[in-house]
Amino acid sequence: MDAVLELRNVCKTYEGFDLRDVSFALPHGYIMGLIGPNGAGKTTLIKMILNLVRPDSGDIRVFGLDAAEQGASVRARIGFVHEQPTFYEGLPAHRVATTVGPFYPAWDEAEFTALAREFGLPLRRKLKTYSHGMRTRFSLAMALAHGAELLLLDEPSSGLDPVFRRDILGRLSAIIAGGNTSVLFSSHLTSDLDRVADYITFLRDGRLEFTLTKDEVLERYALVKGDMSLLTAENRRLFAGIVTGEFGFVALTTNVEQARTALEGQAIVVDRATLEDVVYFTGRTGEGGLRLNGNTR
Amino acid sequence: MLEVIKKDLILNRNVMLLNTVVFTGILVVVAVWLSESPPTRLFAGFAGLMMAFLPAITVTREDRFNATALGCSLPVRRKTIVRARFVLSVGTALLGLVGTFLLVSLLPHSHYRVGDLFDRGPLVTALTVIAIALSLLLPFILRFGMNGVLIFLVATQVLGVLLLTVVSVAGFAQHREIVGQIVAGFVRLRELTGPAAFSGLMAAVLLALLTLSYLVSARVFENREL
Repeated sequence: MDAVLELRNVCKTYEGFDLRDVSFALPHGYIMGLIGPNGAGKTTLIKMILNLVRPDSGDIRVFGLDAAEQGASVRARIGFVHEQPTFYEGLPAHRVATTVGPFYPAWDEAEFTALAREFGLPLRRKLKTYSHGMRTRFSLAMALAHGAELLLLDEPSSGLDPVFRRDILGRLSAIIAGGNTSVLFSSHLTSDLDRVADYITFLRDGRLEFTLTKDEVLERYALVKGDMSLLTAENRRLFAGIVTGEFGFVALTTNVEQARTALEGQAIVVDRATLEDVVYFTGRTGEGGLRLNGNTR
Repeated sequence: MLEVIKKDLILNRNVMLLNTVVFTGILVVVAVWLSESPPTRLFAGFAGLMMAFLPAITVTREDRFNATALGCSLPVRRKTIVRARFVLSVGTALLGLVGTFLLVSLLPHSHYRVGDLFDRGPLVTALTVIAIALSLLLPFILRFGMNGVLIFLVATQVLGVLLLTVVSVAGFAQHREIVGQIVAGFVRLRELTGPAAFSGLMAAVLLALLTLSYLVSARVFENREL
């Protein structure tokens, strides 16, 4: 596999947070969605790829280069959108762009101006007058204007209106179609990833739950709905997460056939799981807290 | 490195100018409006200290906007960022010093003339203060950002109080004796080596101090997590 980004056994420990043995690879020319609840370690991972945070152990290679040792060469080929885009607030947007842009060998001023126009960004205005959505768009325009081979987008769609969000997703798909760019896209909004992601990497509490193609995720997981009486201790083991309510239970299974066999002849409904279902049910495993009108295992 | 210097200059231009005007204004007040002006060397040392803080305050602006992560996400090595900050800091402090000395000495009613300030003694004093202040200050700023200035100021205050305590416990005469011996040591060294070699030696020591500070700064900045 021709991987543009490869993480091997990456670990990082902070007080109260532990990222443990994360390994995955993003093949060249694909979009990978990085999903997980808040505090799962998504932003830390993206920061480690940019060498803003150092892993305690493990190996991060981008374009085959060591992300820490050859960080400058790596970053020259990366476009990024941070979760909280920050710039020099007191300066007009065009001034920031013309100052920061030339750091990139492939910076294209005309392309940036065209993108800014397309994204509706008033370049004469100071960045402190920009909304969060405008800052994200500004970051995105900067990232796209230097021919980046890898785009690292940390929650890029937060703060964007639905119309622009969908436009951005369309643009990402078009960029990928060009064949030269890959995208690592962290998001809480699984609907965004449903639209564009080829691969899904799911982090929870600093652990890698899975890294699979989107189709594999959707094939592997299914929702099983049934009466509470079916929820025996033995059957509970079939599920990765369960929500119970007064009308029965809904559970996520990673093995549809096994669940069907175990519950054969019983009144159950098996539905296709969405990415959101996978995050929701898997993210609640073992917590047992009350959820809406039901309980989770 | 030039790209980083250019970026810092463009992005901080206005606040740099503002700080220069404020700091220079304070020195002009001291030089022109005070009825009794401080000795030339003391004034030069004070000017050097102010000019050393000029770039330091400028660098911390990046921290104010949380824009350090942006700077370090660009395709440039952190060591290069540190080197650029050192060059910019030394350059700005020197330019500020020369500009202030010129302005102060050319103003009517100033207590100082051009020959007073651009003499070897005041210049050596000012340059020494700049080199020492920057060497001590920059590692703090590059490691802790804006808090670094506060840490530095608090640390120097605490150190000052400790020294005063030691002096008061040990007795004033002894303190004067120690200072006197240090001064005598420098004088003797100057006599032994000759004025030119002594100046060269002092310049080498200050350069070594700045280099050491740069190495420490580069190390701590490379390990800084953003």
